[in-house]
Amino acid sequence: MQPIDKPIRNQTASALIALVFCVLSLSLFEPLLFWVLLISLCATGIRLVMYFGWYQPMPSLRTINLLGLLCCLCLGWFSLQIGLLLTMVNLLILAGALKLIILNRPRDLFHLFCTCLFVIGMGFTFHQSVVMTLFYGLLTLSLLVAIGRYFSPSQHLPWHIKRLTVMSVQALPIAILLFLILPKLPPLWKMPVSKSTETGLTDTVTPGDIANLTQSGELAFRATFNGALPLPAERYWRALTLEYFDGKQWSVSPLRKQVREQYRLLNNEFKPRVSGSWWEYEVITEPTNKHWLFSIDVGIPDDLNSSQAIWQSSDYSLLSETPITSRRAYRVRSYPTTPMDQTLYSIDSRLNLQLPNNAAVNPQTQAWAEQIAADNATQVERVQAVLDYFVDQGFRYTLTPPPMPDHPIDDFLFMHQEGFCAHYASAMSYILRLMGIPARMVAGYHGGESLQPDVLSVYQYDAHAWVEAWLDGRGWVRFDPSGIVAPARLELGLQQAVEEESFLANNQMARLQQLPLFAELRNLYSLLDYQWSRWVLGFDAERQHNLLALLLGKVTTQRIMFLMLGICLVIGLLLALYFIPHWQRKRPPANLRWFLQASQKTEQITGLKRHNDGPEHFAERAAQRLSPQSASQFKAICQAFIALNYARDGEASAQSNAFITQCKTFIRQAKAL
Amino acid sequence: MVSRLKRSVYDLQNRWLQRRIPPSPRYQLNLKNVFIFPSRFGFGYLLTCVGLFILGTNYQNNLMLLLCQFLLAIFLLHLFVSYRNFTAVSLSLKDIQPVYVSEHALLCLQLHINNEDMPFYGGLHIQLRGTSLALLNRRADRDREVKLLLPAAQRGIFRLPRITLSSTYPLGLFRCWTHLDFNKSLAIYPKPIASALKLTSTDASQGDTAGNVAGIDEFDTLRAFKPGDPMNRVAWKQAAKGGELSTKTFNQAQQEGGWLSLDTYAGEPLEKALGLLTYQVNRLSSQQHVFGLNIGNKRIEPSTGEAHKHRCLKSLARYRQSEQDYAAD
Repeated sequence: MQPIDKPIRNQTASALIALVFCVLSLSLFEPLLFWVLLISLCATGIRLVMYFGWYQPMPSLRTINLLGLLCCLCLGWFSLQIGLLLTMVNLLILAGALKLIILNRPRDLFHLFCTCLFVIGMGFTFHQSVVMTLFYGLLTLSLLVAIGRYFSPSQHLPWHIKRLTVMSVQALPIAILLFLILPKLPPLWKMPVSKSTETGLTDTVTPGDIANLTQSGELAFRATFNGALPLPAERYWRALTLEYFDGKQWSVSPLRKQVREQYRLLNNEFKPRVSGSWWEYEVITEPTNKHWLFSIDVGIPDDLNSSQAIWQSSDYSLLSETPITSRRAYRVRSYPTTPMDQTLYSIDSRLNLQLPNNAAVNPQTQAWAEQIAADNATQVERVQAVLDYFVDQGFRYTLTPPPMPDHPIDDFLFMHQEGFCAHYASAMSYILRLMGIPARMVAGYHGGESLQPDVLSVYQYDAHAWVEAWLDGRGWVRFDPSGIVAPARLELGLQQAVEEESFLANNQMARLQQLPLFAELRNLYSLLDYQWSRWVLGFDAERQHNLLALLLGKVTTQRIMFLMLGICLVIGLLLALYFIPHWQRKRPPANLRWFLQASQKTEQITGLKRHNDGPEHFAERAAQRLSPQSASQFKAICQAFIALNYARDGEASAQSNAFITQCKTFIRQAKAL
Repeated sequence: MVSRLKRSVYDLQNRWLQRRIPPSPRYQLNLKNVFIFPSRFGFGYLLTCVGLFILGTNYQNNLMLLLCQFLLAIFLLHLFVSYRNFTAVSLSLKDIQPVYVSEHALLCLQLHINNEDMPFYGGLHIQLRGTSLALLNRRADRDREVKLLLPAAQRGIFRLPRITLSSTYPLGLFRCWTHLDFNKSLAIYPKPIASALKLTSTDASQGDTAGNVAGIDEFDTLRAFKPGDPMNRVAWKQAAKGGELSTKTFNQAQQEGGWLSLDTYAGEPLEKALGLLTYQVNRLSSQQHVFGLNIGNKRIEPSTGEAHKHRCLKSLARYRQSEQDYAAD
């Protein structure tokens, strides 16, 4: 015989799991294709309609199979555009939605349950913040409630919620222990990564781009320093060097990429000789889906783990071996005083003296550069002349420069004379190249808010671009023309450097930041988020090793064995605590407790001791010392107690409430004679 | 071949169970008689965990790993919660009422909660071991009993096989089960076939059928009521008319008891003959008649009452049937 109840109509389990599934697919709004989301919403609708019994007949299996086939074809078509990872997520949701429609047997319910768990796991590839983690935690709990509801349908929903919450809370310490101790393995094989939206810098910069970035208040990365923070003016976070200029935009030089590839093939990593003082810090970067990493000046990886994951390129930038698809932590040591003259001049100069093929663009600039070159003999003087020009002509630093479509540098230098950092960097690099000085644009971030005394948060609006020029004898030297035009940019950050109005033009968030309460909350959240990414998301093999070293002193196989045994023991103890009912001592029944309180009160006011007297006997003794009213009350209580305690079971519970109120009134009003 | 192998494995298991869980009228579930193992769904769940672990490792995503480990911790806790829940009950089996062939016998298992502070939750799945008879009562915690209908296909006295009870509370990841032997048997009487009464008079042991005696309904005389006379012999009509209580008497042969005998139906097929006798035993008993039964070489001395009736019916059921395990099909 088959089980009589099936998880179909009127089964709360099916409705619950449908709702969880719906919320889950909504939370994956971004990675999901629109039509897949639509199907999952429809499936939820169908399930709810069946639950409420408005419409009974279920679509036949054949219909659903046909629909499934159709969906797979569609998805196959779209998979070319969205990549493997997103296809996988879409497929999971699609399968879940179709299963939801034909949910009929217990087995279907279990399949759906496992699918949902897996989708929650996938959700963590897209969302990792504290809030989303809590949200997914709640979803997991609701899934457990749904399945628990199926297995004991005679209990109420709040009962299930309570039970499973208790169970989850009990499971958490065990999970955390396992999380801390189970070895963190390196990736087993390469997984497809999502081609989702890219935020932050791109490897091609048109001068307007960085100005757009400043509209974004998103976090770019956080850095935790060991020791003092660098001064605000020193916080030049390099990300990538742009060495190819086509007259309008700058991009990473193809030649540079080739050189890098060759070095990689030869496994000839660039290792700069470092000297001078350093800053040591850990960067937790937000996902960028790109390879480049952030470091101040000359940075080198600080530990084995980081150096395995980082490739040092000969343009002094750090590249990750895999694209940054989720938050990633790495440790760097930066040497600001190290001269950047350790690379091959032949390659660098060849790359950085490159001029646009189309010589007809920016004619005025070309003429002007010749002029300066004729007036000034040395490299330093020529550079200074350019910088002086920006100051003398009263250039303005603005986020909303007028468009300069045809001859961007001519227009910028001689007509509008206002622009954003990328305009200045672009113009200056170009002029220097025209004068025979190798120069390139460096894109990165400048500044950072200090979240804690040793932590800097760098936001997208801190994006910046500056110039590096090769000066004979000194190597690459940094020049920041926008810093000269707007010194406040370096000292105080962008918000103060440009007119408030334009900075806040499209940024409602930034407007909100002006409110003190909101700023407080935002700061609190940033702190939480920071600790979260540092200790939970960033808990890698390195940190685990440190933790083990802290616990064990020295990490040896034997000690690790002992630790494992210890952990098993701790888990065993936890289980014992949960399941051995030693502390669940039976409370005496309510009637007895209240009677004892009442007689205690009597003892107090009369000064008599009850010892082992029976209730009635004690009442008689006490009556002589109690006020007449109290005495009669107490006598009534004693009689009621006897009646209750020695009555048959059924009556006792029925009358106990009245008895308790009786006791309470007595305790309140009792008086001695 | 395969079925023989299965059979021998089953027997081997049975012998082991006989030692491990000896028959008893009431069971307290505990470590000794409860088995627990992940269910199919539990294995599926573990597979999901493995999937999450691989995914989390490959993406170096700590939250996925944490989710995976949380699910594993739930799995571990589930083991204990399941066991504690299942052992919260003691079980007893109500007496099974005898039934006639082609009716259904009702198996009613009662749950007794040991400690009201820690009651039993969830459903119970009951199965007659070795048969396909099974039922899931998902509300066993509220009903506090589980029932199973046993089809009665064949007459006989059957040993009840072990009852397999299983619970998957709270999340179905583990299955707790036990095989209980309440040492009960199930009596299935032949199906009654209506017929006229055929009692043989006097001493049936002589072997001759001494002709039909008068039917038991044949009324002889009335005599004054004496305390102790059966109520259905009282002449109520006379009493209602205002007369004195009097008792109807029947002819002498009836008073001394007639005999029902299988030999009466020597010409009929055995099963039909037994059916006819069953009907007559019922009929005679309902009239509180004194009668004896003579079946094969077994004699049941004339008597009356419920116990006598069941004794007779049992011997009819058992006739030329060895005692065997109950099998549904």
